[in-house]
Amino acid sequence: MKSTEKEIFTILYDYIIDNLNPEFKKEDLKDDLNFRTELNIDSLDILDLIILIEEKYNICIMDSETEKAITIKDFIQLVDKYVYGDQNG
Amino acid sequence: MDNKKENDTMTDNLASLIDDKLVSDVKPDVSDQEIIKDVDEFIKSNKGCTNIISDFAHVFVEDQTEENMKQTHEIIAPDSTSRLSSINLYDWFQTYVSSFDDITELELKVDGIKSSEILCVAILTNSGTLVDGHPERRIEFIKNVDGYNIFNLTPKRFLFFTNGLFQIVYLLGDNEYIISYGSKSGLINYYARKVEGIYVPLFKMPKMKRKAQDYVVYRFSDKILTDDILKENPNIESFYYRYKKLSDIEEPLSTKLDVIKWFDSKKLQMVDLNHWISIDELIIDILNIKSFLSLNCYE
Repeated sequence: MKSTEKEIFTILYDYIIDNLNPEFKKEDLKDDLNFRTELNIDSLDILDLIILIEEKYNICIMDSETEKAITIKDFIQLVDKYVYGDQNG
Repeated sequence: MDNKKENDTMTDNLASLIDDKLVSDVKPDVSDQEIIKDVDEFIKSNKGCTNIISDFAHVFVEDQTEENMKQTHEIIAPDSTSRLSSINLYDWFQTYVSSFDDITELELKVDGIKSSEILCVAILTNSGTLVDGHPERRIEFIKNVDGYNIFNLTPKRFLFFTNGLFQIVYLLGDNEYIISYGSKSGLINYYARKVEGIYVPLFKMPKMKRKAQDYVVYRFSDKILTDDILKENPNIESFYYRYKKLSDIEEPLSTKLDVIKWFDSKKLQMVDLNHWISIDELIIDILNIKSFLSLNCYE
C-alpha cells in the first residue's frame, strides 16, 4: 500500500468517525466500497473531503473529476494522478 | 392490394415521414409540434390500420424521447470574466444583517468564547405559531466564521440549515446570481438566473475553499436562458430514476419552467441542504444548457 493510499484511508476513516458514523470499523473501509451509496456520503461531505485532501497534498482537483469517483479505489487513483502525475501512481 | 401489402406501404410512408421530420439536428426549423401535427394527420387519414399506427406511435414516442435526450442548444461562450474578492463570513454578515428581515443576530458574550468565531442567529420559522405573543423563531449557528471566506457580494437570500450548513444567493450582475451552498470547508456554487421570482441554477461553478482570497467567475449574456428554452418539453420521464417523486406528479408539467416551479415549491418543504443541491443538479440537467462550464473546461 502506497503512502497516499494509507493517508487517504486515514483521512476518510477519520471523517467517517467524526461526521457520519462513530461506530464505523476501520476494517470495513475497503477500496471497492462505494463511498457515495454505501457510506452515505453526500455532496457537502465530498466537498469537505476533497478540500481536506487538497490542503494536505497542496493540489487542486477538478470538480468534474471528483464527480466520476465512485469507489474509494477511484478516489485514491484520482489523488495519485494529481500527486504523482499519472492515473496509476 | 391485400391487407399486408397495404400495411407495408403505410408503414413505409410513415417511416419516411418520421425519418424526414425527426432528423431535427440537421433541420432545426422543424419543431416538435410540426412533427406531431404531421403524424396526427397521417393517423387521421389512415384509420383502419390501428396496429401499424399504434406501433409507430410507440416508436415515435421513443424516438422523440431520444431526440429530447439529445436536445442540445448552441454552446454559449462567456461574455466576460470577473475576479471576485472574498470576505470572511462574520464581517460580511455584519454588513448585511439589517437586510435580512427574518434573521436576528444573537450576541454571544461568554467567557472563553470569541464572539466573532460563532454566528448565532434567531430565524423566523413562519409557522404561524406565537411564543409568548411573538412569532416563533428557531436558533441556528455556524462555527469558525471568522476564518471562513465567502464572496464579497450583496446577498439576495441567506438561509440557515441545521449543522452549520447554509445557502446564500448573491447578486452578481444584471439578473446574474450565484447560488452558494456552504459546508465546513467551503462553498459549492452555481451560476443562476432569476425567472418568475425563482433562482434557477444553470451551471455548476468550481468550489470555493473557505480560505480562498479571490475567485474568477465567468459572465454570460441574457441569451444563456431564453424563453424558448423554458418552454421546451422537460422530458421528465428520463429523470424518474434521479427523482422518484417526479413519477407521482399529477399536474401536467409540459415545459421546463413548469418543472422548475414544481421543484421550487418542493424545496420550501425541505430542510435537508443536500436535497436542495440534488434538485439544483437535476434542474441543470433538465435545462441542458451548454456552455464551456458544462463541458468541464472551466477549471
